Amino acid sequence: MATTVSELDRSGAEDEPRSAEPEEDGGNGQAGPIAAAQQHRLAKLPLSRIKALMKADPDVSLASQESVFIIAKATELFVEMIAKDALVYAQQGKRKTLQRKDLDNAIEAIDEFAFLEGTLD
Amino acid sequence: MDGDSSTTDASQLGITGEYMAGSHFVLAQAPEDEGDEGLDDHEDGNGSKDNLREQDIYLPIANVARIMKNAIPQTGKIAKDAKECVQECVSEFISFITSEASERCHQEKRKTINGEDILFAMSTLGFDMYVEPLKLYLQKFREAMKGEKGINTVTVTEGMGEELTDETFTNPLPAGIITADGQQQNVMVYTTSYQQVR
Repeated sequence: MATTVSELDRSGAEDEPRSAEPEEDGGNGQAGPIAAAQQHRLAKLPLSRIKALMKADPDVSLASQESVFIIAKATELFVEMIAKDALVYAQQGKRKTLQRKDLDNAIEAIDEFAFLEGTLD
Repeated sequence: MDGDSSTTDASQLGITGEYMAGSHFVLAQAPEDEGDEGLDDHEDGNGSKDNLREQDIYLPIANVARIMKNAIPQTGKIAKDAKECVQECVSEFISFITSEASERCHQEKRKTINGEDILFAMSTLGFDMYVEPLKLYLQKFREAMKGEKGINTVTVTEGMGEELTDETFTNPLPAGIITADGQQQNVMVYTTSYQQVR
């Protein structure tokens, strides 16, 4: 376990032993820097899982750490966006609880979410 | 490189063709109909073939729910099926962006998807409103990761030279910077350099 200053102070997050994984690894989800990014609380979603998702695509061979990280952040933005959009429908229905149908409505109404149509049938 | 998930499954190849040509994302649909074409391999021994379909992989619902909660008023609640729905949408989203980025990567004859590819994909797919915020996050990420490299402090510190005075005490950067006045050559005894990053 590294006890170096550089690790601990990054953003207050504790260090974790890294497995010497530079950029891309051979399937080991816990790549060092990626895990470190997680530790630094830069991403709220597990980067290893995101990487697994990316790799599930047969076309994808390698993905840089950065790309995994960016997707993680983009996903956060996406979740916020869709929740907010769905909320509008809940409010229209005078509800405080976000329900599945609110999401369905949002997906139908918003162009950017067109790719989701059919996913949730 | 994940050799396991390389396309050995014919059905995956078929799917690849579909969504390359299609305008919307078919991937999630097809396997449900083609259950007997080996896509349910995971039933035989989860992980043995490692051909997990993209829609089998979800991000933890707790994380997803937490982010959703951030977006709605505190008094709001989220139904469980709504959380699950978003969870699925998220996997879909990631796959969607990834495949677009991957395409571009191939077009440019590169093997590794990088940050730019993702940003470009976002823009292409109608999420260009994310691009600027993402660039900011990327910047933070890069700065955070510089410390991981350890060895490359020469390049790092040169860039960070100006921040030395401010950052040194409030947000300590790689050790080399902390102790050195920019003379980072001497300092790198720190063991951050576990890996030879790039």
